[in-house]
Amino acid sequence: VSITLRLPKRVEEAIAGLDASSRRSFLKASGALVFSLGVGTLPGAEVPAERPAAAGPWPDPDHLQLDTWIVLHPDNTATFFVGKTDGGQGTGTAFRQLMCDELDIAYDNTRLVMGCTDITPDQGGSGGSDALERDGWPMRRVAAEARRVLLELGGQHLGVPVELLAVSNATIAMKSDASRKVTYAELVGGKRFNVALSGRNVDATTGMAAVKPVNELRVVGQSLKRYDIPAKVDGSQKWAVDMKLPGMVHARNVRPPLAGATLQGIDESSVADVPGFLRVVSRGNYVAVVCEREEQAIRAARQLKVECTRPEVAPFPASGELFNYMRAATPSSTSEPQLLGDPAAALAGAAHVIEAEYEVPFQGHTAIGPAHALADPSDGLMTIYSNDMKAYGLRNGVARFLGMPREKVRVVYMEGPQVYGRTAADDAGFEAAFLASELGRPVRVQWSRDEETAWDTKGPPYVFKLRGGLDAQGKVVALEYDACAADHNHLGYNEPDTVLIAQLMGRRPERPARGNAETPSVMYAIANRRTTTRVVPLPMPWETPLRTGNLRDPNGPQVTFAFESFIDELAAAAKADPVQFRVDMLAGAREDAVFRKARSLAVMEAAAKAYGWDTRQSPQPRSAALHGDTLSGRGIAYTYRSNTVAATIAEVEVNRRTGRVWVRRLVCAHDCGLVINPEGLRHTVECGMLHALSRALWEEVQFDTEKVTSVDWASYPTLRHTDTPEAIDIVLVNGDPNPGRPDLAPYGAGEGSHKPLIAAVANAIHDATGVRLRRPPFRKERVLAALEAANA
Amino acid sequence: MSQVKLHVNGTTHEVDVDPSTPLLYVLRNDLDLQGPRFGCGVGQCSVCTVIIDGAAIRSCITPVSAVRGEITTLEGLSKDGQLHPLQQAWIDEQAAQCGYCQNGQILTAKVLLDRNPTPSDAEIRTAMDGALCRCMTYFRVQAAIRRVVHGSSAAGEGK
Repeated sequence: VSITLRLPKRVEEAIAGLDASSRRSFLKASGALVFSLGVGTLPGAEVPAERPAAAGPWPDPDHLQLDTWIVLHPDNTATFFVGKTDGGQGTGTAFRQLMCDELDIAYDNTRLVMGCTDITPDQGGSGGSDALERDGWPMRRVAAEARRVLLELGGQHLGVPVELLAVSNATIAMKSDASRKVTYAELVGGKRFNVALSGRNVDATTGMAAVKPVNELRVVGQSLKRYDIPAKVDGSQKWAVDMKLPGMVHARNVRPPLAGATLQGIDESSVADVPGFLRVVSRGNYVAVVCEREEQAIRAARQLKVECTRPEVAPFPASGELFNYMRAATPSSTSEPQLLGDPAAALAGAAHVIEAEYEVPFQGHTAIGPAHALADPSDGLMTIYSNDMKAYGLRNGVARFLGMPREKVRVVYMEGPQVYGRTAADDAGFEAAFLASELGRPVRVQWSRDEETAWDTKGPPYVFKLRGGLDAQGKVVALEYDACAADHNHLGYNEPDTVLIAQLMGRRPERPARGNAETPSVMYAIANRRTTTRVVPLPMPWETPLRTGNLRDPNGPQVTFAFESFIDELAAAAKADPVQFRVDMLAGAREDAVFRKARSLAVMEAAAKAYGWDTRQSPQPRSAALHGDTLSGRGIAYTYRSNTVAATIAEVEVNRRTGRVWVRRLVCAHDCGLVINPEGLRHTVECGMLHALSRALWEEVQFDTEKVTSVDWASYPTLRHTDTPEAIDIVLVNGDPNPGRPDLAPYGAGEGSHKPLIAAVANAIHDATGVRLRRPPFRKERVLAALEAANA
Repeated sequence: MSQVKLHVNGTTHEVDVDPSTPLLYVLRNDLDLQGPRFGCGVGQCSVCTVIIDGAAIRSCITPVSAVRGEITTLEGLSKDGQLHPLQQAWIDEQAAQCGYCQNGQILTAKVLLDRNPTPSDAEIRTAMDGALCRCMTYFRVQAAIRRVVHGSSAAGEGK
């Protein structure tokens, strides 16, 4: 087995720059990580015989061994191994910063390997914006432990107590005499630590050392440039799509032409003339073609004749009928109503009662690069090269799907197009593994654009009904919130009985997942509240392209759109300034353990200040809003996502002749606690907003009663360069009520700015035009129709 | 199958393929280039962009047999180990999130600047409009282009 061939390029890159001998040491060390060789060996003991890191089977790397996380090289550099992936937010760079600080090593002298199930500890991959909030902690603690062990070894080496030593960039020296020193490499370079860690699970992994107080962190807080960007702009990055293996062949799926169609027959002679044609593989309603070359597989997939029968019942209503259908549908699950105070009585006694309904359509991930994976079945093992953000889940799921022992399956995570949740990367990984096991040779699966757009998992659509009561002073005295989501059979990640291939094969769990309809995430104090939610099914839960799964903050943009729009409607009815109205409701809230009340007030204030918000009611007078054909206005929305708090202000221009909405400026005040990399954070906050702007202005999955008709960028438009705001201001509030305290925690940033944006845009459109849009996307035809209907 | 001659990044290659094969697959699978990537296969997103004789070409819908002239891919932008100013600006502005689409962003920008070295902000937006990004890096991409044009990324000139 050639080590260099089998190691992923990224791992090769991680060790590039080292000389041959240190590189061999790395491989020795990483081999030792996988095959726990050391029993009773002392720290710093020589590593036994070289073993290739990549030869299977692949037992789980032991997260309770320090060597699993950190390898020190003879040239006094280090490689960190973490069980995460990076969807493009620069979390890899942030992990290195955290670990460098605790280990006391210069950032440039480190490398990072992520998400390869055979050599990185299982931290679950990515999801829920928890990379720093949860998974950064064990990384910090193991790096701190490595530093502690090194200091002890250094003390022994120099013959002085540890208290007399200081560390600077991987060199330990006496505080009183810097010439008496020893490097990390001299102590452990190319060798194993052989240090056991403790912790009931990977998240709790710890050694004996404490992490540094925040005010002693030096690398954390710096805007270091992301290490992965240079290779992404010069073309040298090897992505999962670039992975090739000897003997590899190309597969394309052939999806049912109509949702729920039953396969009756396949006419293989229809592709007999395709050069390089190898096989049609079918099982149940799953069909794929395999050819020697990629363009041949594309042609064969187009050309293959299949005979299907329609399902007896239409699988779903047409998109134009969806919300009426949802309103009338019998719920598959209903939550227990949450009641606070007496909302019925409070509404009966209110001076004004406002009521409004909101709708949000299906929206998709629709990755810029359709789903793909390469699977290699060599030697009775299975390696999947994938950009799936949950490499470990993919490994476990495929092992169960194929009936293979887990240690015979591994996933090598490689860079890929964006992965904001449960994407079709899961599905493609299973398909590649299945086809590779069928053909007995490496198979690359690539979804087409229409397949990606139509069949990828989608964020659930919602209908909301809200009622609110104001007293004579314009104070909110009651609020009723009712949410209905078509989220029945919400898919989990990498489940061997719910991935698309399993569904089409007829392998299904006993009952579909219940799904979810969410409630708002705000700190407002409203004395009388009633909250009800329910989930409704579409007629066909299985084998449908309208599959719901987690899409960036799975329910947040929908729920926050409705709720924060409605708060704005209440503010307008109260003739109150929208910021002040919210501040007043926050002022009466109770504080919580992570200071979300104080931090909510802080982001609200910071956003208003950064924007230059003048206090007035909405909508703004026509005389002020109108310039030529353009109506302009501003809107605010606020929410929290887990422990992260964000307030967003959008300034819009609405062309009253065309209906086009342009968000000219965005301001976000964002508080996610400890900031690891300010510039990386700003960029993530910015792109999270613009992603939601795409959902606000453009995105809506369309379908007739037989199939999804959104199949490309014309039928599923997305945000473009011409839609981009001309100014984006981000304020990192870091709103710790006790600034400078040593234990400020980092919270997630992947979704917080995404969540309130649609509402901010809707509120700004109302401020500009006086017209309330209660259903995104705010495409120009819909806006124009609403303006005309309101005579605006 | 037939022999097709391609001039790519200063080197001439001869490949034996079906002449109707989209250029993209020949570049990726026969010549092992990684800059142009598959995004849509219907010429809508620009992820597969290459430059042929100064024009941004969607290689996913261009039959290999139709190609005449010198092909430049993302890999061909740097000269003598020096990054193209756009590539450097992309690093300076940290203009990528996942980065998958950035091939199309950078090459579309190069064609723009080769034709018009001092585009206004409005011209940048219009010229870049067909280069799609699902991480929504547009704001930074525009800043990176302005950085090359003006030496700074500040917005607002020539709107």
